[in-house]
Amino acid sequence: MKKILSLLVLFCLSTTAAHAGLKVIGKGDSMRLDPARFPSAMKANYEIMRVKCVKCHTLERTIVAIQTGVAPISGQIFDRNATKAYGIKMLRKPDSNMNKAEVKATVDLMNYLLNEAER
Amino acid sequence: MQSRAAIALLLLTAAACVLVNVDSAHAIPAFSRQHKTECSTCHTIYPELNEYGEAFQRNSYVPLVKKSETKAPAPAAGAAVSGEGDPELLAQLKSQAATGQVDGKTAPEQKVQGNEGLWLAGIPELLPVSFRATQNIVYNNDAADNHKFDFATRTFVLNGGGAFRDKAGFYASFILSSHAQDSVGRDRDLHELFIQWRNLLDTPFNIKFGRFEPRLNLWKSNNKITTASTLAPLSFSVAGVFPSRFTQTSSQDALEANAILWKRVFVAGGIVDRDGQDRKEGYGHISVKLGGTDFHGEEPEMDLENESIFDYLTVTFGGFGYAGRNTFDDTGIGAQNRFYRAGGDMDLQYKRLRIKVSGVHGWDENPDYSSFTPVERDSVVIGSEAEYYLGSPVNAALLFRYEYQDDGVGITRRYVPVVAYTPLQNVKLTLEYRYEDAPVAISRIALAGVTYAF
Repeated sequence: MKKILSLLVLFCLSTTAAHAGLKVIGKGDSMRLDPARFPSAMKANYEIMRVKCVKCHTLERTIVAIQTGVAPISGQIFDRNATKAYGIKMLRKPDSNMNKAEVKATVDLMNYLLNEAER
Repeated sequence: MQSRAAIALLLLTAAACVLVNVDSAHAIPAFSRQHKTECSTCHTIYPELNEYGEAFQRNSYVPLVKKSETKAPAPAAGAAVSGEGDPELLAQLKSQAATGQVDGKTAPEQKVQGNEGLWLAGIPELLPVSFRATQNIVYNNDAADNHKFDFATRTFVLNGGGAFRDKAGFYASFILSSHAQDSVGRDRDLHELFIQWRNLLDTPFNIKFGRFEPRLNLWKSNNKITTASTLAPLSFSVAGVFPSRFTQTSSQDALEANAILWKRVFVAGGIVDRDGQDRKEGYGHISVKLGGTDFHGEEPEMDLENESIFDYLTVTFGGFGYAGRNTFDDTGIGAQNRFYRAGGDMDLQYKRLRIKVSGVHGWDENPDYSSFTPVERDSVVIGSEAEYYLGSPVNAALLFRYEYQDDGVGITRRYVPVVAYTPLQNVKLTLEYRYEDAPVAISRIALAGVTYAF
C-alpha cells in the first residue's frame, strides 16, 4: 500500500499544476506541453506549434487559454470557433511565417487539446 | 562629392544597425501595459497600425471582444425565480470554480481583472501614460545657413490613452518639446486630447469631442513608418503669402459623430472650431473595407483547406470632404478666403505588401487674402507609396513614395525611398532620402532617425 501511495505521490510531483487532461511542463515563459501521449499526427502538429508560435509569443499564452477556456489577453472565450479565428489571425499577420497547412495543423492541435482539457 | 560621402556614411550606419542581431522583446507603452500585449498586436512597424490597431482605434481603445461571446445568455423561457434554486447550475458553477474552467455559455458580460473597485469606477488599472521620442540627423547640402548636418531635430511627446470600461475611450498627445515651432512660435503644444462616448443610446454612433485630427483620410498623420514626412495629400497647404494654412492632418477643436455600420462601413462627420477662426467648419468621411478583418477586428471566414488570393487581400477605400474659410482672425485684414478639400484614399494590403494611394482636390477663393483682386486657385495633390515588410529575421521594411503636388502656383514632384528597421518592437531606425523637384529649385535631403517609445 505504501509503495502505491509513494508512486502516486511521485506521479503527482512529476507534473506541475495542470488541467486533468493535459500534461504541462515548466512555468511561465518556459511552459510547454508533454506530447508523449499525443497521437502521432498531433505530435507533428505540436512540433509546428512549438517552433512557429513561440516566434512571437510564449506557449504559456496558448496553454493557459486552453486550460481556462479564456484567452488571457483579450478575455475572449477560447473555444473551437476561437481557435480557427486565432489561426486565421496569425495566418494574416505579415510576419507570422505560417502557411495555411501549418495554421490548420495548429488549429487541429488546439481543438484536440481543448477536447483533452475537458476530460 | 561631400554629399555622396555623407549618404554613404548614413547607408553604412543603417546597414550596420541591420546586421546587429537583437532578440525579440516586448514593447511597453500605455496600451501594451494595460492589455499586457506586444506592440505588434496593433502595429506593423511602429507607429504604423495594422488591421487590429486600426480597429482598436476606431473602437475607442476598447479591447476587441466579440459581444456574442461575452453576453450573458438570456434566461430560459419559464425559468422563473423560485426559492428552490437551480441545482444543475449550482453544480456547474461549483465545478467551474474548482477547475478554473469557464463555460462559454455562461461567461459574464465583463471580466473583472485586477482591482474590482477601480473597474467599477471605470478607472484604468494602470496610469495610461507613455512617452515617445524621435531624434534625427538631417543632412541638407543646400541648407540656407550652411548648416548641412543638423543633429538637433527632435521631438519628445507624452501620450496617454485608454478606455473607461467599454463606455468611453480617451486619448491625449502632448508635445513636450520639439525643434519645430507651430504657427504661433510654440515648441510645445497639446496635439490631441479627446474623449469618445461609445454607442450612444445603444446605437452604433459614437460622439467624439476635444482636440484631434478630424477624420478625413484613412490614416492619421502618425500612422506611417517614415519618421519625417507624411504623405503629401494629407499634409500639404496651399501656397501663399501667409505661413499659417489649413492641412488635413492638423489637430483641431472639434465635435464628431462616427459609426461603424454593417461591420465594414465607417462614417464620420463633424464641426470644427479651427484655431484662429470665428466660424465653424464642417467635414464628412466614409470608408469601406473589402476583405480582411472587419472594422470591429473580427476575422473573415476562411477555408483552411484551400488557398485563395482573397484570403490575404484587403482593400479599404475612403472619401472625404471639408469646407472651411479664413476670415479676419486668420488673415488679420478684412479679406476672407473660402475653401474646400475633397479627396479619396485607397489602402491595399496583400501579405507583406502594402500600397497606399491618396488624392485630394482643393479650391481656394482667395488664398492670398487679397483685399483688392482675389484670385481663385485650384490645387491637386496625389501621393502613393509601396511598402514591403521584410519580416524576420530582419524586422525591416522598404518603402518608396511618389508625390505630385500642383498647388496652383507650380508643380512639385517628390521621390522618397525609405528603409525602416526595428531591432526591438518599440525602437525604430529609419533612413530616408527625399528628392524634391520644385519650381524654384531641386532639393535633396537625407535623414537618419531613431524613434522609441516607453
